[in-house]
Amino acid sequence: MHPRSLSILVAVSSLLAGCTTLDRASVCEHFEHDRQSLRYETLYRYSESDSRTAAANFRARPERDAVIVRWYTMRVNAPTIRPCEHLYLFKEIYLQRGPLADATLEETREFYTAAGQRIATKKENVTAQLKNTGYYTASVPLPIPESAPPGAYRVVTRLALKTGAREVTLSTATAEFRVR
Amino acid sequence: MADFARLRSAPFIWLPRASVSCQSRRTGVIYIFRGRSRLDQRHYRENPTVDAQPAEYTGSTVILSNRFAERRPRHARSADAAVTAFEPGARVDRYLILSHLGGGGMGQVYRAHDTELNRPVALKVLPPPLSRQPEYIDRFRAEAQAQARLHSPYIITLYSMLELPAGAVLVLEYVEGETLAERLRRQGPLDAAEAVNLFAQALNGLEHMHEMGVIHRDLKPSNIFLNAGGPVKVMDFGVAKLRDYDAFAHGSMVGTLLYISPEQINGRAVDIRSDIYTLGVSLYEAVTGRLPFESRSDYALMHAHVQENPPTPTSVQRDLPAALERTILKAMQKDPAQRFQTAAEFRAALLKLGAHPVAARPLNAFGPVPNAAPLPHSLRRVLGGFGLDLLLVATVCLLLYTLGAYPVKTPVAEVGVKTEVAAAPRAKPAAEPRHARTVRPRSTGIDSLREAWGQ
Repeated sequence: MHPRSLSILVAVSSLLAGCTTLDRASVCEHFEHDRQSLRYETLYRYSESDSRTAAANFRARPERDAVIVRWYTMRVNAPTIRPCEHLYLFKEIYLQRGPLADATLEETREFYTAAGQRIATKKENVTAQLKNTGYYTASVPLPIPESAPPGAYRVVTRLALKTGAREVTLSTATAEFRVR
Repeated sequence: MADFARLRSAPFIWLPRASVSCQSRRTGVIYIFRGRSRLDQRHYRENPTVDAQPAEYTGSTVILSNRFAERRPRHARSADAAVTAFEPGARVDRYLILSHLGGGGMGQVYRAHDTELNRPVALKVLPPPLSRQPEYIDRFRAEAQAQARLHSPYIITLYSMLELPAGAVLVLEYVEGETLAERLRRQGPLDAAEAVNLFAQALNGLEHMHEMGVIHRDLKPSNIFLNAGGPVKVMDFGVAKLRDYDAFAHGSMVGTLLYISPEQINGRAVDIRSDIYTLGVSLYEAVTGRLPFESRSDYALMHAHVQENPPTPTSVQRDLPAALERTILKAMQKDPAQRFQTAAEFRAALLKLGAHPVAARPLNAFGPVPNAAPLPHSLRRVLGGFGLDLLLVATVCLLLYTLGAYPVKTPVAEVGVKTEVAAAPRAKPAAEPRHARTVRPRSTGIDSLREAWGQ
């Protein structure tokens, strides 16, 4: 190849490489900006019609149980995601509850690598959000930082009833995703 | 279960409306769309990957009408037949197929080249099995007629409609870019200024559409196209209604369940304010990254649109200006009389939020008029030359950096390796800084995850 053509080719390809890097950089900049303002805590929303359907389909709560979780699922909006993007966790719960004297409902989210190593744990008190029997849904953004190592991850969410030091797991749900 | 899966993947499904709205025990419809019933819970456990994107089903355009209830199995088969594809290189009339862009219930969309006029076009092809069915071809014609009325830089232009043995074809303007839905998936929510800018442009298109007597009825983010080198464009008039003609039976529910207006659900008369609602929902999603209503079943979703108040946008995105929140919530009012009454009113409310040069620019037939005063010729040349010089220097630096001939001297490399350099082979010191620059230690990544996902 002629040296001049070669140098033009190299210049163009390096320019393209630079553009890609810059584009990615702007995506990450935007992502970091979003992270300042997005709310990452769970916000359960009560769904009236789903609650009615669930009430017609599930058995009533036995008297002896203060809280029963009949349905608890979690899924992700995309099985694969890239760094500098937000993954969304969709959670759905149908719980039946009576009055809780001094007990709290605590939701724990645990993140694991494919090898089973626990990365992080997040605990949230959701007593006030799940204050009545009903069907609730929530979508929670999960930031994937720029330096997130590629690979498969598993997220486990666990709803527990805490009374003092005593903790009873009511239900768990898991979802998996892959970081490219 | 095979039938069940097939029906769910069918892009257009005609179902008895009564069974949706009363939610009786025979509501197979709800199972078909999102599969969240008890029946489907089992299916979900057995096939978690199949159901990985249930939201996408409610994200598809649906038409619920009692006219076609008895024909459901036949239409489901027809929808399968719709997936007949042209390979790149095939010719459709004078158009050379270049690539497949996507597909929906009303056929497939291709990027093609107009060999006579020598320009890129997009072809929307309704395959022969569907072209032979009067309902489909009527709708396809109605789509073409709706789009043919419109001449706006903010709307994808229809060049022509052909009825060929290969199927009915719409020849459309081809633009580079991505849909708003793709942008939101890729980059997350838009900041307020960007959202205002993009939606103000989309509202320009909507205003023109309404002036010409066209109601879009499906203004979701996947139908708003962000043109890479120009204004935002509204597209896909597949379920549009003309002022004087509607291809769908009176009382049919047409739209996308995640974005549909209450009056569309209730079967009441649909007017331009339905588009205001749908665009309000899209704007809500664009700035918060979340939908105002996310429910377990289609019935619940429809109920929410009709009865429930959405969570305020600031409850999910703290930094939104209060005025933008008020604008979104006004557009999403249940009662059409409480919404903005015209697209222009909606757009004016958005533009009051701040100066947005692209959206506010006056238009001519070729799009927004650039508002910068032209520079003198000589000054332009000097600036252009300076820009080129900068570009050249940047290119050379980038090239050197990429090839590793311009090593970054990190403190670690200077302090830690100093004594070893003498003993190491000559090539090694040059390689080490590059390695240190590109490969992060694994613990750094995990730590960032711990920080992002933990308490």
